[in-house]
Amino acid sequence: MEKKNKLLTRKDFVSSSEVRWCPGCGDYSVLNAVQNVLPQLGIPKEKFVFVSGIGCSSRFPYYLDTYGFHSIHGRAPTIATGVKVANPELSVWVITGDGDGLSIGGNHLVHALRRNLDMNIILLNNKIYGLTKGQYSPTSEKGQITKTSPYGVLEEPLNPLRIALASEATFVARAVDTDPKHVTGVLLEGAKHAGTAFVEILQSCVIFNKDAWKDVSDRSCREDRLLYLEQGKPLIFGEKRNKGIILKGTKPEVVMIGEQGITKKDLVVHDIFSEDPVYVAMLTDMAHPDFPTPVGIFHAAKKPVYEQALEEQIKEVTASKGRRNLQALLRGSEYWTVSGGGKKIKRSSGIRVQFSDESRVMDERVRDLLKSTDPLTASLKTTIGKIFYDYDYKRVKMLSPRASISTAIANFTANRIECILVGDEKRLYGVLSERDIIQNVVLTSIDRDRLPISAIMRPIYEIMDETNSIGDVINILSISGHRHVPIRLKDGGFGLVTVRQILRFIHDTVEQVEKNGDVTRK
Amino acid sequence: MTKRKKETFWAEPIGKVDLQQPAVVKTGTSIIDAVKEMKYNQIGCVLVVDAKKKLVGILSNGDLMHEFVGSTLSGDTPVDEIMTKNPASATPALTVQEALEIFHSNRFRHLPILTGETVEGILSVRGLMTFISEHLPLQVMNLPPDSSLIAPTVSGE
Ligand SMILES: Cc1ncc(C[n+]2csc(CCOP(=O)(O)OP(=O)(O)O)c2C)c(N)n1
Ligand code: SF4
Ligand SMILES: [Mg+2]
Repeated sequence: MEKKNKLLTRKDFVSSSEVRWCPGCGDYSVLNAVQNVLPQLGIPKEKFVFVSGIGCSSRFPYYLDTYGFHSIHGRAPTIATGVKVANPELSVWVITGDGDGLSIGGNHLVHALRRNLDMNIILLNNKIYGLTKGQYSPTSEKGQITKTSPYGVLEEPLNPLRIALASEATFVARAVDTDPKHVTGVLLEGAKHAGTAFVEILQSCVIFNKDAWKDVSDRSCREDRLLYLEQGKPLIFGEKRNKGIILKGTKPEVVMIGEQGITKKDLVVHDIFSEDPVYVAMLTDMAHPDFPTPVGIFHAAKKPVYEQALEEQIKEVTASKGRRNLQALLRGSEYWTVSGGGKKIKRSSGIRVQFSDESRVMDERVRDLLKSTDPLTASLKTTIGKIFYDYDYKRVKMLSPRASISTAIANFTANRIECILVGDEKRLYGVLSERDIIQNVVLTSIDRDRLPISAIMRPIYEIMDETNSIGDVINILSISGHRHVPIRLKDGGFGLVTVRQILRFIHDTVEQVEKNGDVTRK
Repeated sequence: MTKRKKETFWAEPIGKVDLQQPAVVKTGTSIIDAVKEMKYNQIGCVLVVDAKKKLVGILSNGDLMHEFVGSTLSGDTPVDEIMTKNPASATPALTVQEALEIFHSNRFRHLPILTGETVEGILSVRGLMTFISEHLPLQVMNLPPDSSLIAPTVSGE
């Protein structure tokens, strides 16, 4: 077996499928790099699985002679998770694009990363949807002109490495398609990492986003614009290797080595295991033209691997509870019977007592809270109907929507009311407050005798019932920002509860409570 | 009002309530300009101050309704003619319960809060209700808007 693996070569991984990528596409060089890496891993060919989503980049599995799954858009990390959990012996690789992995599959990518299965994720970032012929993607630059942004992208682009770090990824790296040797090195390190290795490849789509990475990936200027990160080495770059990065506080600064007394010793030394989040955040933030764009391994950490933890958990639980089988579970005694058109739900006796106990305790807690013994809180459960009549609040003034503004004014001045309802016995159309009148009458030259109040009333936010509680009203008043809530009266017509009435109710309750000497509130 | 327990929120100073930014005009300002100021500040009253910025009056929507809208006064009339002079005010040390008492026994909806002669803000009936309701979070704020919608059992069953 050992011997046979050693014999594997690049050629063993080349498939006979016709390649559908455009000539010159950056995906080719990544494919080459992967075909270089695989034979070096000492893993039997049949143990490799490549899972992809949808996109040009996601056609990758066809061109590798391994097991593969050209799967569902954005769901490659999810399917790969299943593959790895079901058979941890496999070497699982996810191939995704900036669209596949960060648009439709953003959520899946994030959760795969935080789970930390021992697998590899390669995100081919060409800052565009290639397959669908050039729509902007989550990594497209602000202002980029594409088929779906003819006047320029308005959104901030996502930085895939920052997403990976925020998702607690344990291996975060970047490489450029024009430097396949470096890509190979990074992928090899990633493959050896125990945990999910996330590698972003800056890839050029020669058809729809030709110059996306030209400024940093072009061979002519690469050395000066890329910063090759090397573990334990100072951050040095430049064709003449004469430029470096120093830190001013937490801010990086480009310096010339040998100028102004700067030596290599002054430069920041790269540590992929640094636990300082500021350091790696700083690296991900650096980019051409203000800085060289870093490539290489940004960050690595040793953390438990999901499939192992899962296996241990299964062992542990099986040891204490025995092995259970799915059929038994499905045909078991734990079920609910739904009857009466869905109104009656009964729990079977087989449902574990512990579970129902828990929910009983919760129920009781909820019930306790709801029937609080605190007098004011308890009083908030008083229904509106009660305060409405107790306080002898007059039924509110109601006018037809056709009534003139003059009529409304006459009502306001004669009745000393804050607000008039607009409608009839059956329907409410709006409310009219003093403010609506004042602002319209004083600030505009309307004809108050002719203009109907429907022209200046405000729409109804909510109508409550007499059976609603004071608490409900307070809730609505707080949410709506209004000073009154119309109430549908039991025997027809509408009433109105105002903030002032609520305060009066609270005032009276507090006074009552104090009179009874029960002022301590727990 | 008898003795209050210090630890209750009824004894909290009104300074802790989110006061509203006041609309302020100088004496002699026209009624129209005062209303514009109210509209701009989205508040139902405007404070009137003298040259030394001392509070001398308050004008509310209610005042405007009763003293101006039905009258023959023109919009250029100075606010001084219809405002409420020497309005009630309070300091930030006023307690929540005292504020409740004040709104209970008076018709106005806005109470200027002053430190010395500086206006700190306006306490409104709404602001006070919101403050009180925020101290009853579970019972008032964290419930469905209609108590008939409260689930009788915990979720999931
Ligand atoms: C559910 C669904 N939505 C949308 C599409 C259309 N679609 C196909 S590929 C793609 C985006 C691919 O972008 P990326 O992952 O960057 O791949 P690239 O082609 O650039 O390598 C989209 C939106 C689809 N196939 N299925
Ligand atoms: S469209 Fe772009 S990304 Fe797709 S194969 Fe062609 S060059 Fe590559
Ligand atoms: Mg793409």
